[in-house]
Amino acid sequence: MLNLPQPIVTFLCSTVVRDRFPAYLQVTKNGDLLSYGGACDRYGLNPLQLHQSIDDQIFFLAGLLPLQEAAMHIPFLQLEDDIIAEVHLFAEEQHDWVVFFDATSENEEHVLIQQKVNDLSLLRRKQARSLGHIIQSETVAENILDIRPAGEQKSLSILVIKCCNIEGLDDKTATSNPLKILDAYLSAISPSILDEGGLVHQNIGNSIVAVFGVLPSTRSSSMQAIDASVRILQLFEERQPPIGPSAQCALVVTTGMVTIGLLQVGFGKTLTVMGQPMDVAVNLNEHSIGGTLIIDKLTFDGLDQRQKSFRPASLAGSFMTESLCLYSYHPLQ
Amino acid sequence: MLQKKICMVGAFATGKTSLVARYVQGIYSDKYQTTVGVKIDKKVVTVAGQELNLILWDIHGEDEFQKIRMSYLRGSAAYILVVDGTRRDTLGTVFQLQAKVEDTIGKVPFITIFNKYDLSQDWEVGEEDLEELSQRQWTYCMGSARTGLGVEECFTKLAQMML
Repeated sequence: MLNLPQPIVTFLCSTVVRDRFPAYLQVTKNGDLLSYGGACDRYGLNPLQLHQSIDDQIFFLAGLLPLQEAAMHIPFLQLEDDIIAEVHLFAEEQHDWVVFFDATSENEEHVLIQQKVNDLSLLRRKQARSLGHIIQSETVAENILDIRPAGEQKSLSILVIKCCNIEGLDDKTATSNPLKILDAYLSAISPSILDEGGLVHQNIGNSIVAVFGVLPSTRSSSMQAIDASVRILQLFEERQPPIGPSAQCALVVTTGMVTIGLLQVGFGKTLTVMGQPMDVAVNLNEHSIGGTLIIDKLTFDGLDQRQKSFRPASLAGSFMTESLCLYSYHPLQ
Repeated sequence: MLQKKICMVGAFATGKTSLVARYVQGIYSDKYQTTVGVKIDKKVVTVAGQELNLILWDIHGEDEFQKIRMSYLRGSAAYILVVDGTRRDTLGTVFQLQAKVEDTIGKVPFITIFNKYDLSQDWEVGEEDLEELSQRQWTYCMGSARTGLGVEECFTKLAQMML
């Protein structure tokens, strides 16, 4: 079929097939076992009785046969304690076939990676939650965020994200619970900010304001803000739930000296950021359109090779545009 | 004996494997071990005088790298949606998964279990979330694989719904 020389076929049979302990079952469309062979014992497929119902003998097959589609693949199936099988099911006109391979070692590798990924995801979540609690506590917030009680000047990057065209939020498509939809969007966006060392400063309507440079980092606040922005743009491009089919985001990043402090509001203190970069970011964001990332010159200057992904830009409608040197994001192909 | 396939569905680290281990073997381990692929278990129960062989498909959790293959659910008589009550976003995941499952296998009985109920200090699921489930007319229960609270009852309830 593939016109392979015999030594190659022999090699493939011995390494790819034989060493993976293949076993097979042939099952009639009525669900009776017609034949079997190979290393069935390895997968605990015994004792097997021909011409008897397969569902009664191999319980994981219950409901799967006869196959509804041409083929089905289960990469990792644990039947016995220590053996993981890769299972292929495929249909012929008169029969269905079930083929088993030993996938124990491949599974071990996958588990190692997946375990690490899941552990890190849980850790990230725990840290974000702890940080939220810490910031609510005035004394600890002052220590962790390294902010003087009276406030101070600090160079930060401000990221404003505006969510547009969200189904269920627009006047035309408004649902009974738009806050829930907005909550889902903000929850989807926030991890990208936290992962890059930013803080979600506040939500204004359907916009989020995040600040970078408050928490200690080895990267410049500009680079943190840009990395978070690119991740958010990708999030909207991928359109994984809850991101709807028409939803877009408009992002603006500005950098510069701001006054940061903990302001007494009611019974608690909240993080307050004031200054021109904040005003500019909010103003520019009002005039920016979905799917764009606009940055100012100081942000641009703080980037490394990431500068190559930005081109000079202007923003129609903003009174600040003329006096500002702006750049827009154009990912390198 | 009647055989019934039941799938465990939910986000990663919600405790699907622990719930099955608690229900089938009566054991629990505090060590989190991720599931890759599918683990099959079974338990014979008697419900309303009828013996049932429950075939439990413990399917890996849904995350950004591992998406649940809906073909695994083929032939299911019922399914259990598992939410980690200390991670409210896992409720959003089961809302999405339930819609996909129903698209694949149609309307079959299912129950939602809010696992880790013993971790009350970290509990994130609120009254309004439960209200939403009620509005959707979903059957749900609180449970803890660690203490065993509600686990047996959840599976029994589902078995009753299947008959």
